[in-house]
Amino acid sequence: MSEMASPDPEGLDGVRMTWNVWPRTKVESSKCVIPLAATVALIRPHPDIPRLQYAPLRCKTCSSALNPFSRVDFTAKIWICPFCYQRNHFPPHYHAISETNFPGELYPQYTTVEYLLPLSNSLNPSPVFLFLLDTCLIDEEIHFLKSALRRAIGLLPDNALVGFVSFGTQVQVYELGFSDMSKVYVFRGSKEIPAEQILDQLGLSASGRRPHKGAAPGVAGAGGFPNSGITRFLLPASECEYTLNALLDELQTDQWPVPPGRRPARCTGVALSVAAGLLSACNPGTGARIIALVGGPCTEGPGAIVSKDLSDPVRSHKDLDKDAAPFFKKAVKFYEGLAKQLVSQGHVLDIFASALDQVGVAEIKVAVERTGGLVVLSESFGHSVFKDSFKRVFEDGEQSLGLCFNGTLEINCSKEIKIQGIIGPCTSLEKKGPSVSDTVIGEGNTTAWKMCGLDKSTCLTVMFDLSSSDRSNTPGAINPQLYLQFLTSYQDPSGQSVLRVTTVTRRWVDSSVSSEELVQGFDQETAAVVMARFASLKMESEETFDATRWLDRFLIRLCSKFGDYRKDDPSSFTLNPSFSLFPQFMFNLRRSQFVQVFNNSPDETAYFRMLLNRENISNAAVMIQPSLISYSFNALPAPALLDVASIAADKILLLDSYFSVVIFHGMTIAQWRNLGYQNQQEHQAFAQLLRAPHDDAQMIIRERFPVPRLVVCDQHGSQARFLLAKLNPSATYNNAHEMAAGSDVIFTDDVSLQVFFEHLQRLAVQS
Amino acid sequence: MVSIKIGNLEYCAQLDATGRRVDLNQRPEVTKGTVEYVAPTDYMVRPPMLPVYFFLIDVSITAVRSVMVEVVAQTINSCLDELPGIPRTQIGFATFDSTIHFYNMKMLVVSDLDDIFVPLPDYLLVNLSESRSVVETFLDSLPSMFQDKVNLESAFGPALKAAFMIMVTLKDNDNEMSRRLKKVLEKFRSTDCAYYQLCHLVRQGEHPKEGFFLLSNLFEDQMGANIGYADWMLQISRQVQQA
Repeated sequence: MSEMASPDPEGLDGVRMTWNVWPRTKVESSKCVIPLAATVALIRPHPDIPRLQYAPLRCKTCSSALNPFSRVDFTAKIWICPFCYQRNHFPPHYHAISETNFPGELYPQYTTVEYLLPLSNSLNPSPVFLFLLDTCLIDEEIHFLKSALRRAIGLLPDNALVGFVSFGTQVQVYELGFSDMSKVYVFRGSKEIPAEQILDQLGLSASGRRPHKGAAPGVAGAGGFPNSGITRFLLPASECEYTLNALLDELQTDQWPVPPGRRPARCTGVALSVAAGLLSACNPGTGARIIALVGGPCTEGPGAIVSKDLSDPVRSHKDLDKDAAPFFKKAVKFYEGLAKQLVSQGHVLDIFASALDQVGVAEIKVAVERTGGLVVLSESFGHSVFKDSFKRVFEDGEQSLGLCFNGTLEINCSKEIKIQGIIGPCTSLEKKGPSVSDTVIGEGNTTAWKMCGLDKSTCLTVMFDLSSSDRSNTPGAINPQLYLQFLTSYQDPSGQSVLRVTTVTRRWVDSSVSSEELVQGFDQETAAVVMARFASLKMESEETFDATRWLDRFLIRLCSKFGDYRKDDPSSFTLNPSFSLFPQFMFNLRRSQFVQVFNNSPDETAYFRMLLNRENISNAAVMIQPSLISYSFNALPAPALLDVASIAADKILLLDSYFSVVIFHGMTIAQWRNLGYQNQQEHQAFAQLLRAPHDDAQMIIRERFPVPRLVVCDQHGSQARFLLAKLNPSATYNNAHEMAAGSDVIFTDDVSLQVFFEHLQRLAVQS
Repeated sequence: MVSIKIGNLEYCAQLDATGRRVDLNQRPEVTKGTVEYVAPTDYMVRPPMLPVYFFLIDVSITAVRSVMVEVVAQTINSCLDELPGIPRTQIGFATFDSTIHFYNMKMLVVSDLDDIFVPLPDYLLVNLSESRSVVETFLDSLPSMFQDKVNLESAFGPALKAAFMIMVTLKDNDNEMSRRLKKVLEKFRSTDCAYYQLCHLVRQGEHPKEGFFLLSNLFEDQMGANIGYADWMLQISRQVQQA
């Protein structure tokens, strides 16, 4: 919606910044209140991005790539790096360069280019999909799971390598290449097994692959060696479709008995270890994903999140706050170790969790996020949220997620700029440099990051700081522009190695002189998303952090700094249009599930935050402040205020809160529908009115991953709560007498947006 | 006629002309020094234990190359009709080289030899009559299954231990003694399923005073006859705690 109303805010580069004009000093930047941050859509496709068939020129000092902002001396064949001012000579094969003959990367409009790198001979371009299936499920769920898997197997590219592991009380690794009967390697679920031991036990360790002295030459298999490689476990999709289908036919629920009053013994932690261990036998650089399908909590062995006793409830946020979750810290530590192993291998962990209760996403989050994996949370493997999301992972063409592997991001920036870290699905590579800030936010202490998995909507938030050096050091050499360069190397779905180079520039401004330019450069949508991500991060890493107060303080300081007002006169307060939407964003953020974790499980909160941290700005903004559209006879569909006052008996509302899409029928509309007016010929207009929000909802659902949940409800119906929870409670029982006929009232003590604004103005203007 | 006063009328018999019982030829107990009695069901508190045959077959390279595996498979196949106890006979198979392979519609490989465990709670033993065709198919395909493998090692010890674990799992006998024992065992197992491997009972009869084995250490209680029920359970508990 917002992207249709205005030109593409991310453009070619996929970079959006909280401030598009930067203050020059550290002191001035702290007065800006909102951090200097850039969000980067790493490999967002765009038709105008040129693909160059050669390697980039890199500065010999700082390794920045040649870019449109480099100054070029065509006569002397020299280019000057805008980051470190090093003079670099063009190599011989650039000898033809001239003012009328530019290489692609120097064109002013090509601030983002992609270089296609030659494929290394040892690199296997086939991606690996290792399915990890929970069998501690009821028969119905197993049936749903089998259907989803059969469909997925049919959609895999022919060259993809497929592996299969199931788990319950124990872990079973299937040897797909064994033809006589199904062959399964079994691991005990209660015991932590190091990766080398896993390889040993699967017959994949390096020593096991040495030819035996006892074997006479030529007597063994055709190659002269026994078939003991990983190819026993990972087969091309084109070869193993029959095997996998037969395997699925015989797959059963876990055979181990579950006593009454007990949870099944589910060894998710060991299963993930075994899967990671198996993949460690792949050649370095192989792109691989573990696709874990989990139907309940881990109760067995390392990584357990709850005891087997059903009388022990799964941990809640209250338990976590009181430090009364005995399994949590230990489990997180285990999954952190797993994350470290997977990152070192360059492999991705995806989690598809379907359960009526929790499965441990809150604990596994670290492993999914560090590896750049996907996460989907649903109630059943038969639910459309799971089924349609799972299918989309394997779809090709326009609907493709564009799943890529082995991403690394390097950032170069002007000398005055420091990198504090990244919030998002990546891992620090601990690469030191002059650009590294002393303070760390998220994944920091580095100028390079690893994204084992990334896709076309992956978006990272880079937090910046300014050097504390005095600007009077070199007064004559002050550059009016600042530069940032993002170099993302990755392996695309076809196996091609690509390096994308995005170089952006913004202007420095002396904000002590005038803040007008600063104000014009504020991107309030990006700022809202950055604040949401920052608050979420702090809520998880700082135990006593009060997000609501923190956000309020930031907002008050921002309004105090950038508002126009007479001191101590609230009625005089106004905000520049560049800031006017921001307070409402903050109002909705502090009421959202990212900040108010009561009423959500830790798994749900982890899920919401993982998606907040990885989606682009437009999508993340919808998570914070949903969009609401109103449909009625009298007018075309129109955006409506996110307010209870938008509810009317004769209207239909379509709420998009990213994770859910709600179609809400006003009372009168619902009555007419229930009486069947839409089936009568003379009321075709009514039938169209009913259909319109469904059509729009399907458009949203079709292009989103994970697939949102569709809720259809009526005014005063129980499902209406999904809408009411998101609306500004301008009408509550405190002022119910004022509401219009047919409107609605929300039973809440939350303050309304108006009250929020009144308080904000008063606090912002007071001295 | 002369009658022998035995007290039980069944033992009355006519004498023949030479003074011998006329039924002498039908009474081995009065002409033989040693006899065996087949106990009728009146003397049994439960049916006899199911006969269980578990075959451990070496499939390391030496066994394969010497066609021992092939001969073993054929021999077992030809002897299936001769196994006693049909139709209640239970049969199971495992093969071993550097790992142990169990079978239940699929091959289940256990590589962890230092800490052997069974990969399924049930169905590693099957009823021979009911699963005859499956058993025959398995034996037919066994030689070709390992034809191309080169594996010098032979893990006989762990395989033997695994076979023992499978065979000695306590069956569901519905009597007071079994119910009490199963309750205790289930409690142990639910606390930590590692106990599954530690505590198995083989009883030599119904009465607790008879000797028994704690199989985790192949421990034979020499004083079984003297130990009381409560002390016996306490001993099991101590055995588990030490593990």
